[in-house]
Amino acid sequence: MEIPVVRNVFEHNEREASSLRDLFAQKGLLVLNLIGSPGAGKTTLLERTLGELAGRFRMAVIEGDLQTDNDARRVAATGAQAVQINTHGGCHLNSSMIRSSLKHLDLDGIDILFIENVGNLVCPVEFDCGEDAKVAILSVAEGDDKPAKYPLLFNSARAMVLNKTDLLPYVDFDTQKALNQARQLNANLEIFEMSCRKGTGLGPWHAWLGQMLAAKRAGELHFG
Amino acid sequence: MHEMALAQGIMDLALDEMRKHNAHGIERIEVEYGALAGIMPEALELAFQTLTMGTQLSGAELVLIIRPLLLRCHACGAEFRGGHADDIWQPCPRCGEDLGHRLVRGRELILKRIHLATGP
Repeated sequence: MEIPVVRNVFEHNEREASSLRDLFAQKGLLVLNLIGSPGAGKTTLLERTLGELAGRFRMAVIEGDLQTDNDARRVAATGAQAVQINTHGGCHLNSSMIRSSLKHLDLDGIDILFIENVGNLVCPVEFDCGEDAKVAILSVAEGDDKPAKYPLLFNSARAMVLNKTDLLPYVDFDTQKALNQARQLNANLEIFEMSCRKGTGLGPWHAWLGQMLAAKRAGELHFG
Repeated sequence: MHEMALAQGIMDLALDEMRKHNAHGIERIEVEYGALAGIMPEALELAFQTLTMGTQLSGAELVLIIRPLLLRCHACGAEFRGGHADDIWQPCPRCGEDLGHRLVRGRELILKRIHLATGP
């Protein structure tokens, strides 16, 4: 007997994500999901951001990695709240993992929550974690064709960080080509070029975080 | 690993439907996936066969059907289809714009239909 069903396979994850989004809205909390390759500089971006904006915003981080709590220790060293999720082989975070990590955070004491996803340009894009926006992190050492190879991330992200610009003299990376591809996938993409190691170019990113938080508090930030 | 999580999702929904209909088993599960859903059919089939081994869904056939992209032009708003993931790069057939098409459909994964086993 044939039964028509028509159910979204992601429905469980998306229901939980939507409930998290309601909770974050109640708390006036801006939540950003950082997605990039292993080694793109996600943790270094967070160390810089948490360090430099410590006086302006109260921030916390949920760190996703297969193994180790190295990254949670690194960000906790800046004084921010940090919780580590180890996926033990899982290639992405999902909304249930975010839900269970929240008990380790004081949500009333923070303005911005960063989710540092497992280093991977594919799977994390599929699993909504209740965030307000996804941020794609790409480094010049990875090659300028990454937007073309991983279109869904650049299409879904609200912002993109192009990191390690201090390495441009040493690598064959065509910045215009990469940025054009990314814009071709997403005409509204905000792009920030920086070197987190050198600490250069972070100003516009910091300003954007402030604007996003203000929009969130004013109820003007809409997911998607 | 991504496919494992998706296979688990398909399995959970199928078992739920099976219970709802008081069925003894499922012969076939039809799933539709968007051309940009990041699905590798071979990997998803393997994950599904592995996960269902020894369960009530053991032996159920998983049929995966690709769905075309539906894109909306950033410049003129025209909607158009593309059968392949790479079609996200094609220019708008109405105005020729090739920048920033919005993905209206094409990243979904939907349990579309199940065929219940007849008899115990």
